[in-house]
Amino acid sequence: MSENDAISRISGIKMPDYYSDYYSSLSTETYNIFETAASAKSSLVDSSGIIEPKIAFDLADRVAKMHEIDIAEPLRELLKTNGKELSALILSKEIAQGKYSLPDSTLEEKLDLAVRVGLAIVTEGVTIAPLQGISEVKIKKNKDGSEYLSVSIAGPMRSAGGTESAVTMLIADHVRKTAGLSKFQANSFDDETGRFVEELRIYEREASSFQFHILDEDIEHVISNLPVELDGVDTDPYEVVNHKSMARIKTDRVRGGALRVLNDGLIGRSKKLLKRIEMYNLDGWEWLNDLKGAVQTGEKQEDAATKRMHEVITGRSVLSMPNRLGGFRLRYGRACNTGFAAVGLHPVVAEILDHTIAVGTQIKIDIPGKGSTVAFVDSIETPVVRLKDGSVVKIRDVKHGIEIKNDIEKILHLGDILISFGDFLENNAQLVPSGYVEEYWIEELKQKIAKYEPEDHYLTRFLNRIPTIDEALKISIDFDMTLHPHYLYYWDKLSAEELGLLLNPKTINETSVEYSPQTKKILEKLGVPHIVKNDSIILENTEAKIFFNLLFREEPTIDDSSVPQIISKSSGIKIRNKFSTSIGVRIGRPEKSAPRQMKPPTHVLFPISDKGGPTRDLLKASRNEHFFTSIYNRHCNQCNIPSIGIKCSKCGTKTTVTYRCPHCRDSLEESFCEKCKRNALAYSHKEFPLKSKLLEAQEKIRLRAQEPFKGVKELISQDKIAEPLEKGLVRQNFGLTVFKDGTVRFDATNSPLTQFKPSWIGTSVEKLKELGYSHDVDGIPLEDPEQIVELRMQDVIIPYESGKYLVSICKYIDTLLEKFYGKTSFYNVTNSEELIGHLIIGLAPHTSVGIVGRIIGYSETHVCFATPNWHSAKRRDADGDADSIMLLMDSLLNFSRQFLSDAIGGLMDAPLLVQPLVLPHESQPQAHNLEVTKSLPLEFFESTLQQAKAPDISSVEIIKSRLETERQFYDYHFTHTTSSLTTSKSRSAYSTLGSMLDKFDMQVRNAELIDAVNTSEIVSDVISTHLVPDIMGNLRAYARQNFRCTGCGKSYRRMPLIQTCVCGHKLIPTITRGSVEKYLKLAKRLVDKYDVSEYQRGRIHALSDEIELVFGKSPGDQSLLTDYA
Amino acid sequence: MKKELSFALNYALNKGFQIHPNAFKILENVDVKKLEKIIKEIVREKTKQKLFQINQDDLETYLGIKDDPSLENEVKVLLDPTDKITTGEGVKGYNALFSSRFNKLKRIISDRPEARMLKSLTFVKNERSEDDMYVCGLVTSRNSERNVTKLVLEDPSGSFEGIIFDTELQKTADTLLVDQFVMARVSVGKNSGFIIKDLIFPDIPDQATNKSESEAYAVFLSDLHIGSKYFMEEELTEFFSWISSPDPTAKKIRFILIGGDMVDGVGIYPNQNKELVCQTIEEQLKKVESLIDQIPKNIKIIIMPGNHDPGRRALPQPAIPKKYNSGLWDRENVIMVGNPAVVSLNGVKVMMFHGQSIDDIVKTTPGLSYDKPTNVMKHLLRARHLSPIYGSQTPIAPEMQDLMVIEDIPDIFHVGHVHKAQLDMYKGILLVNSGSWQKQTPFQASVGMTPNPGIALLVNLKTFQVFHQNYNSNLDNILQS
Repeated sequence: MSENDAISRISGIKMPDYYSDYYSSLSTETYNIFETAASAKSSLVDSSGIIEPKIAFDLADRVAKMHEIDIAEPLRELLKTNGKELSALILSKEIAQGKYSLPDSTLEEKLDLAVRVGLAIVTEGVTIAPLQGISEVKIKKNKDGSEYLSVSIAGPMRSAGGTESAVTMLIADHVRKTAGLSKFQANSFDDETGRFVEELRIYEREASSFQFHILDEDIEHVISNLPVELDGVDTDPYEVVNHKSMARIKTDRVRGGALRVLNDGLIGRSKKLLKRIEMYNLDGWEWLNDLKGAVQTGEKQEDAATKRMHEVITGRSVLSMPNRLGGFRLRYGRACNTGFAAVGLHPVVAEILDHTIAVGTQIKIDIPGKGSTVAFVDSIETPVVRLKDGSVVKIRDVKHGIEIKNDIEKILHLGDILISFGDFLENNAQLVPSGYVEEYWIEELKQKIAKYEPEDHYLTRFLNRIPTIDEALKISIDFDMTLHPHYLYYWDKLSAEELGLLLNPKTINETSVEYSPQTKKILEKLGVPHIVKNDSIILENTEAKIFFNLLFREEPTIDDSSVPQIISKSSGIKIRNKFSTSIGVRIGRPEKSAPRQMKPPTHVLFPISDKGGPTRDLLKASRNEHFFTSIYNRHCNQCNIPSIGIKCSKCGTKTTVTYRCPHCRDSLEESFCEKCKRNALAYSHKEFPLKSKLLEAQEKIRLRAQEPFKGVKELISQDKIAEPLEKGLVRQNFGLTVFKDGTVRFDATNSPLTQFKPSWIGTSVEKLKELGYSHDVDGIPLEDPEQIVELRMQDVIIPYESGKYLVSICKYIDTLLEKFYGKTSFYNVTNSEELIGHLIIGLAPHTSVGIVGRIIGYSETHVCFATPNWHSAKRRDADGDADSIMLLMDSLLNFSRQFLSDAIGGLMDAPLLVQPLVLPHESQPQAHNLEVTKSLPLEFFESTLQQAKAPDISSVEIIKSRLETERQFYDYHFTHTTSSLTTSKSRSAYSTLGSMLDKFDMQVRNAELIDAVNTSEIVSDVISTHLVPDIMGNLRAYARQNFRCTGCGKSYRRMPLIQTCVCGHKLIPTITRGSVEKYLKLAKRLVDKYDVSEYQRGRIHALSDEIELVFGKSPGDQSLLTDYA
Repeated sequence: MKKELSFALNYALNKGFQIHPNAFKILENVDVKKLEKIIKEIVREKTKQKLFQINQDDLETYLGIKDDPSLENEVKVLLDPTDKITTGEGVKGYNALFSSRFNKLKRIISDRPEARMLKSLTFVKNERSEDDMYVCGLVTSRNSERNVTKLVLEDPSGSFEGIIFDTELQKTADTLLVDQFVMARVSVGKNSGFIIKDLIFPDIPDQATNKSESEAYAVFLSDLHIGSKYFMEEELTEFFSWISSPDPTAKKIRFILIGGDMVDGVGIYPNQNKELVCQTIEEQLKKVESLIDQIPKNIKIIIMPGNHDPGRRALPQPAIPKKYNSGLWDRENVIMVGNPAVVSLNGVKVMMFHGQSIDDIVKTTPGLSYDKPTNVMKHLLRARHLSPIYGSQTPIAPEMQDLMVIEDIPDIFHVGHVHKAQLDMYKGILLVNSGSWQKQTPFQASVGMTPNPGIALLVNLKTFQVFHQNYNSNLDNILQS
């Protein structure tokens, strides 16, 4: 890359000056690091001499770089006018015609490239489906001799998604026509349709499930009509029985990739495909119209949400059940740390639930569906709790919550859950009526002022502050406004009889209302704070005043209308519904932030097989007199020793690579043995001077290896290229371990953030100014750490822990640069503060594009905060997944594709490409659905009452409406403020508790504490979703288990008759009585203690009996089994 | 006098009958609800015979109280795993199990003349003799790729891989079940590998069948699934009342064999509670008891568990434990056995096996399907093992000996499990799959299984003639040719 590349990429895009400065500084810095790394690599001491990740700016760039084809410019032009789907088709046609190929390339090669590039464009060049999801594209012959095109699909096609995977076949057909090939004729050799039917059913039964269930006749219909052959490589060790050894299908095993394209793609998405076919103007696919269609597995859609809530996982608490008073009340809006699949809860909830949740904890919610992460927002409604002395309290704030935490007996109302409109939009969901919330009231007030009282200063003041109870009553009476939500109770959930009971207190006056204990349940339902004194329930001050004014100034007449209507009528004060619905919330995965380690952790990618003992210690291995290993044939002819670096570490001359033919065992200079007509291998099993190499490396780096210095058993890559030992020494010295691709990574849960206060991220105002943050959101110069500042597109705030880890990586890189590559150090960073401003890349596990980000601060959480656009560039939202963070320099210097397996899927999760700039208009559509409004308009609240579909709402401003304008870069407003990002603990209890029993204990404790959760239901769900399947599964598995060798680890399907392993060691069972009985006691205790169904109780007891019948009453007990009753 | 009794008396008297005082005593003790039916049928029967006195004998015969001296109902349990189950744990148990399998089957095959030439696998591997050699062992794996089939066998000396080129022999090899016992003729190939030239199964030798002296009938039932929504209670009740009727065939019934899945069980498959009428095992078994009580007391009922019944699921299964329903254990005409079991009915040997292994065998063997369970049964007999495949769906418990080896050759082989009533013969053995008394379940419908429930199969133990009583299905395909 060159600097100008970057500048030219952003020229012409409208943006504020500070943004073009920002982008240029990112480009310059990326360029700097690139240059430094390149110069280090050019020393040739490493195992590769070039920087392997390629810089790619946009879709066109990514596709071009990933496939090493010069199409970036023409593709960019095409994309401007045609959109990606059509561009894919046009470009693949051009490739098929040979426009971008060398003159000597074959038609087959051109078509192969055409299909892959077409798919790459459709999948935006981010997934590895085009590289590894397509195994090969071949021209084959029909029985009549005509030529047709065959596409072979491999497992990683999955990463493309259903529709896109099927589009592969459309593109293939398109290029087939371009090349003038005939159609594929199914069943001309064997019963291929029958094979697909059999294979698909076997796959479903034995291997894995699909998204849809399809009919046999549809399979037959598709396979017999496909104009190109759908072939595949085998993916799972299951064989077909009746359709073996077919002429055109090379394997007898199931071909998972091809089946997925057929099932979830061609048939499952046939409706979507038909739209594409229309758009592409393809003919010969009309038969898709005749499909009977697929059924989504997992029954009806609305059931799916309820079903999800019942999938209770042991130890992961259910916090709120759907549509139950007392559960989390839906509140529409977005805070600076929510939206984009992150939802807001009040931080005091985490405090009073013993940190069952923390920032970044994944939760599953039933509306608008799918997973989300927890963020904390303290401007929403707080919980109402009952204390042990019987009094009911509305928690004021976090401090208050912590004070009373130990006195809480029951959480009666959990408070609000803040969900952004954008999430409803993204999930294409129907809006749920909003309760009467403060924003709603303010919008009504605005309307009132605008319409009737434009000059009224009395009313305008309440746009910014909550009125006192007296003011609220006055506004309601004088201006015919609804009672302010701050003074509203859940009147809407009361029956007329219950209201009747409330009308008869023991004593009444404006500062105190006294009730008999019979009304307690009703008052708790309403959410009214009260105290219990001498067998009386007393409402004081505000509550008394509200009751007095609503119920006792004028006696209400109870009739058929709803309670709010009855009260509004009698008191003259308008009352609206406070409740809307409650959102079902259960905890999914805990938040995650941890160094990424291989299993077991490894310091250096160097193979020592089993010579290093169980810890894979290189030092131990080096003590072998003759150390042999399978490794790349790089050799220094001068010193006559094997070498890892391109230049010999001893004499500095360039080394050579030899190949060995596996058949004639000749040493060759070419990778092909002419004599045997087969490929020669670049590695061999040979003696390696590990001891002297280690000594030399330690000398060079001036660090001594500590025991154990961990290597790997064997290398997974095709050529078995190892890492220089020096890298491992430095890593060990700084407490780092390596990932399989040579990088050092840190994983953290994704969390969105659009604004921050300097005080939240521990970075000084001066430092922030240096980084270009000159003004706050209101345009006021930045001076105070409490000012709110808008976060820049690629800036990230990472956990402190991660910062410390990255500092170690900096030191590691600096040592490498100086001592190994012989250059000058680059970072010179000694603490995390000095790390601020440096560049990292973020990488999501299923992709291969690293996105450049800049560290601007740290938080005491386990999440990586960044803009939705940045996460979106990684192909992620905040639904609870964790992505990796790497130092940019590390990925350039130490990543090598040569370390990775050639096996299918090996390239996933590797930084093959690096994207330096993130531009909002290039983001995924999901990021464009983020709302950026300061307030939700009245029109919006009213349309929630109509339960409109989110996509039909136009009154809420989202990023999409700002694309192509300057404002796509800034002014991402939010509707709810928060004073803090986190709570007093950064880690949720789930990740700190040890055993499953402790976790389950917490789950039951939470269920008993929260009124909106039914403990018996939870226990029953845990039994049926976890305990029973576990016990039953292990019990079944016990009597069909494998056996494992204690010596070499070899696994046996059954005990061999020789009764030992072939290596002579003992065999041990993989499932024992202990593993079967693990949860039995717990299950028995639960069914006896809680109110679960007879069926369930019977199940547990039957399982317990069965265990006795399999294992005997106790070990050694051989008593008559049928007599045990 | 009860009014039903006086009605019955008047009815007979009006038809011109006399009633012997001893017969009257019996009538007094008959269930009043059945009185009318009984008297009418006896009157009809006797009118045909033109005999106008109703004797003690007539009533006893009709009610099945009387032992017809010519029809024996002698049951001997020849094999029942219930008290043989020893629960060897893990490694020890499985070592014992598979050596027992190997030894028992080697003994069976040693009747073959070739067996005299048997060598151990290690011996054959080391010797590399130019002559053909005989080995035997358990099949560890069977693999066919393109045009070769590879077979790995093992015996206590070690394991050995052989290749089959002959296409006919490949077809035979395809019918081998993993972990079954087989004998092979092998030779050393050119490329230093071993070639398998012949495969010899333990199989069933030709032999004479045992027959009952008297013409007693046995009824073969299985897979009642009592407690399930889909249990055909009406049809079964109708069949049981036919058994108590004076129908000449019904009157000869002396045995009823129930080959497993008597109840639907609890927690057998996910969300089963939604398809149950009785939610607990105890409730389901109570219902069994009341149905069993409809059967005349002179009929012996043999009950074996299946994969839905309580107890344990791993094979071999002990009898349904007493603790769930001692009523069944306490009844004099009920015999509780484990799975598999061999019983002798008036000398006729019946091997009962529920049939769990059919699932694994159908899945891995070409040409077999759930539609033709008797073909699978033939495979079992050829392998002389009821459930050879280890490690697949069917759990096989570690036992100190392999009780699933078919040591004794039965006269009748009774299997259920697949809900497909079917009959066939193999080397003189009558094969019975006793179908089911459960309508097609949603699960079966979703995987395209069409059962033929509601067919009761009856066998005359003297002639081996087969009869059926059909309460629901069409009879296509019951008889395999």
